[in-house]
Amino acid sequence: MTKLPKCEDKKLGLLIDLDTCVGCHGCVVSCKEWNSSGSEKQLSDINSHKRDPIGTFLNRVHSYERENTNTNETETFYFPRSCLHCEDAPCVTVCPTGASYKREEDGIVLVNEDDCMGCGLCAWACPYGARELDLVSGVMKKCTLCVDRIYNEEITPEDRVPVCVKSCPTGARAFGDFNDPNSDVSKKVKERGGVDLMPEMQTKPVNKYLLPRIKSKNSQVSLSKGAEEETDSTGLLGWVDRALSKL
Amino acid sequence: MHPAPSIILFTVLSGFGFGLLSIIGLLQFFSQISIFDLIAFSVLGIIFSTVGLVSSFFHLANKKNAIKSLSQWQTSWLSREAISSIFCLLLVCGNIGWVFLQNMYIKELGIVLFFLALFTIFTTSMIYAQLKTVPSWNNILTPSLFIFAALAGGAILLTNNASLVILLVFGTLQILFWYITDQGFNDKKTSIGTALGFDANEEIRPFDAAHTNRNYLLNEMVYKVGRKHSIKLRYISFFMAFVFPMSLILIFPGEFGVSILVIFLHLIGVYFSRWLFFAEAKHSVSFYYE
Amino acid sequence: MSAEINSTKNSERVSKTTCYMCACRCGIDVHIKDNEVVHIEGNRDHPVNKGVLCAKGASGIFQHKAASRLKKPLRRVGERGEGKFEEISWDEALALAVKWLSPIRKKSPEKLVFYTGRDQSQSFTGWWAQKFGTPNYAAHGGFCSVNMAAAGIYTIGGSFWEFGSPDWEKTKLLLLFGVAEDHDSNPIKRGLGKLKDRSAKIVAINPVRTGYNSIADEWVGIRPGTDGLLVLSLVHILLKRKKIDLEYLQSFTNAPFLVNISSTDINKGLFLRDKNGVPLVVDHFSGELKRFSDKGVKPSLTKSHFNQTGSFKTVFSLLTEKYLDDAYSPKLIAPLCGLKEEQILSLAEEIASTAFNKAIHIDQDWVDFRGEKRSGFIGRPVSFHAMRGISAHSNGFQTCRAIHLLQIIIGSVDVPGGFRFKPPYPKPFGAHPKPHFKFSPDSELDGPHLGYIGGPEDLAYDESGKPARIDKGFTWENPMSSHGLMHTVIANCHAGDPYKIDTLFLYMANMAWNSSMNTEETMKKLTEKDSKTGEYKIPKIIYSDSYYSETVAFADLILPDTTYLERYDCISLLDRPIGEPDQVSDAIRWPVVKPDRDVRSFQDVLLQLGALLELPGMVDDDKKPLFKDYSDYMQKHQRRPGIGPLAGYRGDNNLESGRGDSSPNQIEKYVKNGGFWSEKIPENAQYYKPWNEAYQKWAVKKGFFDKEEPFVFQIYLEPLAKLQNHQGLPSNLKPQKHLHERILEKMDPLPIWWPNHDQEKLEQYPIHAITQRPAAMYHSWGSQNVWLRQIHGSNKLFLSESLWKANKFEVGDWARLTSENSSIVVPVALMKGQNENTVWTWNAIGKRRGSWALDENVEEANEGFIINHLISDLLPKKENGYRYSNSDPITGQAAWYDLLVKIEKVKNPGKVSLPQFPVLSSPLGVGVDKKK
Ligand SMILES: Nc1nc2c(c(=O)[nH]1)N[C@H]1C(S)=C(S)[C@@H](COP(=O)(O)OP(=O)(O)OC[C@H]3O[C@@H](n4cnc5c(=O)[nH]c(N)nc54)[C@H](O)[C@@H]3O)O[C@H]1N2
Ligand SMILES: Nc1nc2c(c(=O)[nH]1)N[C@H]1C(S)=C(S)[C@@H](COP(=O)(O)OP(=O)(O)OC[C@H]3O[C@@H](n4cnc5c(=O)[nH]c(N)nc54)[C@H](O)[C@@H]3O)O[C@H]1N2
Ligand code: SF4
Ligand code: SF4
Ligand code: SF4
Ligand code: SF4
Ligand code: SF4
Ligand SMILES: [Mo]
Repeated sequence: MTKLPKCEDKKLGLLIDLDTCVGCHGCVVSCKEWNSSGSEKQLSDINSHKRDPIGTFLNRVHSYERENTNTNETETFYFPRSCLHCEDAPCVTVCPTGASYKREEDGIVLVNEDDCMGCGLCAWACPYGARELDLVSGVMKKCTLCVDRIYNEEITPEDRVPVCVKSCPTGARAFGDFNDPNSDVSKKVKERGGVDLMPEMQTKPVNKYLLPRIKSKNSQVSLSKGAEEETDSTGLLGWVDRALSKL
Repeated sequence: MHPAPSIILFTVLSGFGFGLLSIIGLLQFFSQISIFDLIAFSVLGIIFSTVGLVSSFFHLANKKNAIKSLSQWQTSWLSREAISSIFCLLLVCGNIGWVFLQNMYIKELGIVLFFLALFTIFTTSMIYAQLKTVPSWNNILTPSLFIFAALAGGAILLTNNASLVILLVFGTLQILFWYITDQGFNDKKTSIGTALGFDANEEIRPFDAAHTNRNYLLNEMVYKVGRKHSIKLRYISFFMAFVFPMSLILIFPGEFGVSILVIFLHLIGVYFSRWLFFAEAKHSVSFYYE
Repeated sequence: MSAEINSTKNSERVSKTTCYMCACRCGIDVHIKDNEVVHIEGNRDHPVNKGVLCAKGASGIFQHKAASRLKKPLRRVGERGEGKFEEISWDEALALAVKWLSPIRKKSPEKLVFYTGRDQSQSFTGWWAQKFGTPNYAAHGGFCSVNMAAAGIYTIGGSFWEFGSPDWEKTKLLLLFGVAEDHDSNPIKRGLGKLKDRSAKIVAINPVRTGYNSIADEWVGIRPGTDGLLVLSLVHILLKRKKIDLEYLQSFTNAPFLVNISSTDINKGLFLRDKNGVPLVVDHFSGELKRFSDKGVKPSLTKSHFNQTGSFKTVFSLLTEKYLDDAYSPKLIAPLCGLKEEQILSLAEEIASTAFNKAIHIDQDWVDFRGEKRSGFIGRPVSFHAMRGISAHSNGFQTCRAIHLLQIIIGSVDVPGGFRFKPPYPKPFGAHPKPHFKFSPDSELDGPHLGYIGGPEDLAYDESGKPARIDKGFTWENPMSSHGLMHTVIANCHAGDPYKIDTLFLYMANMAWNSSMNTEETMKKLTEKDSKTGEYKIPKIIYSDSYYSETVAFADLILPDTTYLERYDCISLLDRPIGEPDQVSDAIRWPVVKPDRDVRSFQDVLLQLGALLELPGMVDDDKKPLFKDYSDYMQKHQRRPGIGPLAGYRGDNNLESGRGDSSPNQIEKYVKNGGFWSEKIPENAQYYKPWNEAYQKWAVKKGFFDKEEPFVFQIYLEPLAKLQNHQGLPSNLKPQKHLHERILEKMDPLPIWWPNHDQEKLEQYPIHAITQRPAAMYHSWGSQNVWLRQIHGSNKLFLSESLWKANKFEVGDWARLTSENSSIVVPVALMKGQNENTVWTWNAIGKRRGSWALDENVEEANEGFIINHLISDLLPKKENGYRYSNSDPITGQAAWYDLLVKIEKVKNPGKVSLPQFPVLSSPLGVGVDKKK
């Protein structure tokens, strides 16, 4: 059903820390890997060994430079982009076939590939470019929040997290219930001020981002104050001698 | 947005078809149309709207599920469009059938047809107008433009003075629409800054690409048309869709042969207008890439 | 072998083995279904990665199933370099190799030149070469990061280069010098994440602000090649402000050692020692000479000594004299480094206040090497890490030593919060072998090839004074070339300098492309024929690769290798071990799937060749093979009694570790344990390892060395003094005249800095050109990976804003980049966060057309480029006509990042990067899309 449910129970999503992400693309590839492996519903690649290779990915990492007006410095940062599992997901309501839906129990936005007709409208409706139409299977692909992992009883409990979260080497990605104020993700959002992407689009994203921290300007130089300086070796050695005697 | 020929053709042709049907309905209600014309032009309307529908069908990547698009009328304008166009076509067929059998028409059916066809055009336009992601579409001008573009076609064929009025409205809307498009992205509420979670006025610039080549998103939603090119196309579109048709109608009022020519020019003009409608529309996802 | 654990719905079994796409060697869970690899994820229990995985590791499926995999042994049929081959059987291939190698071994084993790339079995390949008897063996370290290894081992007994790491749990300030990805990539990423969690400060010293450097709290956009200056300036400031750890310097370093400063003495520059060679110090309290290691001695850092042989000053006095000099004042240094004085001052402040005001104390009794009880581990929570931004310069050895000096004076090596060794390190240089190079027909070499010299007496010359090694390793031109010089091999083989060779045998190194300097010239040398005989100048080339890389086309015989999921490998403590500071580990790879092609593991092939050549140690008395295959070797071989390639699960019951008898079930145990073995260091042995009795005892027990090897840090490096003071050497060991000045200047026993370029050259070529590792690519082999090539399909040259503006570049432009050596044409892009005199690009994205089973029109081969063409392998002629190799004068490390260029905009670019070469023909064709 493309009517949006009220997710009163759980709101599962990702918290992505741009202050920690080093842009390694580990999550990009892990995601592609998990969502291509061992299932028929693979993410395709066309022209894989030719010019213009084009494949479907559910998560992409961009890199940007930002002029920090506080420090007058140019800062580089990396930005992983995937589905935000919006509360008011426009991608769902536009879907004519009912293939797109949002789960009431946890808020995950999914595509039922058996129903999708590949019209692409949901991708148009998503502000974030979180949906890619797979050119081989002809159906819409998007981040599933690894729904086939997080509830998978055959996987050891600590691995029941999205694969991009598990594999992220820096720990820049976290997964949890944003409805639960005591969850780690909620606490971090509160502590560090998690933000929404394009709030003006009124999609109410569940995923939150933590922005790069304000980089400390160089620490104040105070060395010169307190300690007196030794200008030559003899003076320094004298001090060392005295200090060694006290040791 | 990528100006996909199949979609442009679909919106132009089916728009023309349903616009024609809508005008027929109106004339039928006011008993201003001959039985012959009603049948002939209804068939024409059916042909055009079907050709449009078929071409949009070919746009689907997974055609076997097309039928499922009838299911989500509660939320989806695309679903509503599918349903509405089917109902509309059924109604036209019924109408023609009745006329065929009874050699007369029920004029009240005309008003139903008028509204149903109009509604169909409206649903089509709402597919675009509903998208907050494309602010130049996301306003009342989009349905207005679609509706008047569609009605103009029918009116040119079947009416005289009315067509002038409709064309005039259409032309005005078109200029207004281009004016809106030129205003930039939703009054700068959205920017690369907000796309990345910062303030709207942050100075941010991509440095190394997320992927080397184009992907589905770039192919579908990030299209750049040069300013000069677009102005040229606007002139062409405006003259073909509006100025020439108006002038010809004024110079040769009521000449059917001229109407055919006018329709032809008009449709080409609308095609360019629609091409620009897509090509000039900026989708919010492009902020991540530019 | 069975380690099949039933797991996810996707797979039938999970086999745990070790990743391969870089040297950090994470643990992986390989999911297998119908004998096909379907999914790879990180092993949560593995000490290296604890479940995380990088982009390369996660796309291992395409490493394993690459279309570019070689399928069968190949024999060249066309001309060298064309890529035309015929398939032959393994029997034919081995017979051919034996036909070539057997006479060499019988008559002149030095005519086999055997070099291996970044393989992870160097202790095995080195052993093989030793048994063959050629002195011409090394792995890739010489062009990679020997500067780090050598500076580290010589100075502190371990190096940034894999043998230690910042104390991620406790450090409060990390200084990262010249690191993009590193060998230890996932551990560093995990570590940076931990620092972020604790809000510890990260300072990145790097001309470019990407990756790790982008998340640093402070970025120091230094001018390439000037780090040594910056660091010595920090030393200068800390000394001036008396922010140094005197106790540490006094107890654990050679700062109190007495250096002979009498200018005429034959022992000039050497330490004052007793009869047994033990260095002497002046006791601070009694003023008497004592052995530095005696119980109760409190060495003086300042008191000089005089005797009939001369006068002696402490290392510490020499150090203060040197570094207090105003030449190191931040004011003078800052502009040379492209920095601001305040930035240097504030860095010094940050270091001092963190080291001394935020010191850590861990309550733990321990006993030091003098036998004195100590009541805690004091920690200076400032840690350093450095890699190729330092090492890939010709002043890299001394710069790296300068960084170690800085670490030492604040007392932050192997202490809580500082830099910590990973066992089996630390190990002083004296505990490593010395280089061996004495060969004779039909016999094995006199010992392992590579090692650490103690002085000129260990240099590798034959009786006539000719370099003994083809790469001129361990000669006066690069005396401390502990890893050999792989980058000189092709040129020297081609030139027959110092002697003619017969067969060049390469393994896993793309030497005809991205790992050579002056690539175009290198390709010529590989293919050039002697005009008289019509024979190739390098007569025979054998190469083992798993894939159709650029270099395959240049070989006469190809021995196709398996992929990392199809073979046994041994990540051994004898080699480049994995590990973490608080535990010792080693690991294996094992065939989790069978090859579907007619390929063999290179290690198996070496053993087969060894058996056919009847090499000692590889056949028994009846000339029968001693080892069934490599896995058999891994279990049976013993380097020293009780010490084998694998340290875990030794002995009859597999209960012993480190030392113990071989066990036939050892590998099975590894497989059951997830492919690795790991053991915690006892609590009281965790820190201060070089001086900590508990650690030393434990290390002996584990077999890292046979007797305890405590040592002090070498602030002053005596072997360098011995090189400087080269009097009284036998004639074959004397340096040539033209080298004297350079030796005196560069081999300073205290860290120094010199500019990499003369002023004249800088004026002509004012821009530094460097490369960086992309996190999602491994050198040349990432491009065959269907997923990774979509991320990095081509590269651009990134220009700073000032260069961008000065040349009026616009988006989409192309530039010509010209060095002393040649010029290339490449696409450019703007990047503001970089040093203004620097351009950079991603390393090894550019491919040669026709290679890697890629279509010849691919982006990699058309827009993509490598800058190696610009890097000369030889420096310009000196006045005396001599051309040095483009290397560090001490270690021979290839100076990739010394490259200087000028840049101009190209008016009408052909949209193809230049130079281009003829399309290689491929025995494989172009890979096809995977069908659903
Ligand atoms: N993903 C990936 N990982 C790899 C590899 C790979 O190909 N891909 N290769 C492996 C190998 S063989 C190696 S040797 C290691 C190398 O690992 P790194 O040492 O990280 O190697 P580089 O990418 O050469 O990075 C060198 C860094 O030094 C900076 N730099 C250059 N010149 C200077 C300078 O003068 N001063 C300072 N301070 N910085 C400078 C460059 O900007 C760059 O960021 O990586 C290993 N890991
Ligand atoms: N401009 C520039 N050049 C550089 C550097 C730089 O920073 N800038 N870095 C230098 C450094 S540090 C290094 S280490 C070198 C690296 O340079 P190379 O060692 O040449 O690196 P690779 O491209 O990894 O090539 C290794 C070869 O091993 C093959 N191979 C891969 N897997 C296997 C296997 O399982 N078995 C066998 N038998 N072969 C296999 C690959 O196909 C490839 O042909 O590059 C150096 N070159
Ligand atoms: S894996 Fe983690 S660090 Fe790497 S790009 Fe993704 S989020 Fe960033
Ligand atoms: S991010 Fe896009 S695809 Fe995901 S729920 Fe929101 S609108 Fe839909
Ligand atoms: S592409 Fe599929 S999921 Fe998306 S709107 Fe169309 S039918 Fe729905
Ligand atoms: S949650 Fe799963 S599907 Fe979504 S981006 Fe992460 S790995 Fe991909
Ligand atoms: S860092 Fe990546 S490539 Fe290197 S071993 Fe680990 S997973 Fe493999
Ligand atoms: Mo390397």
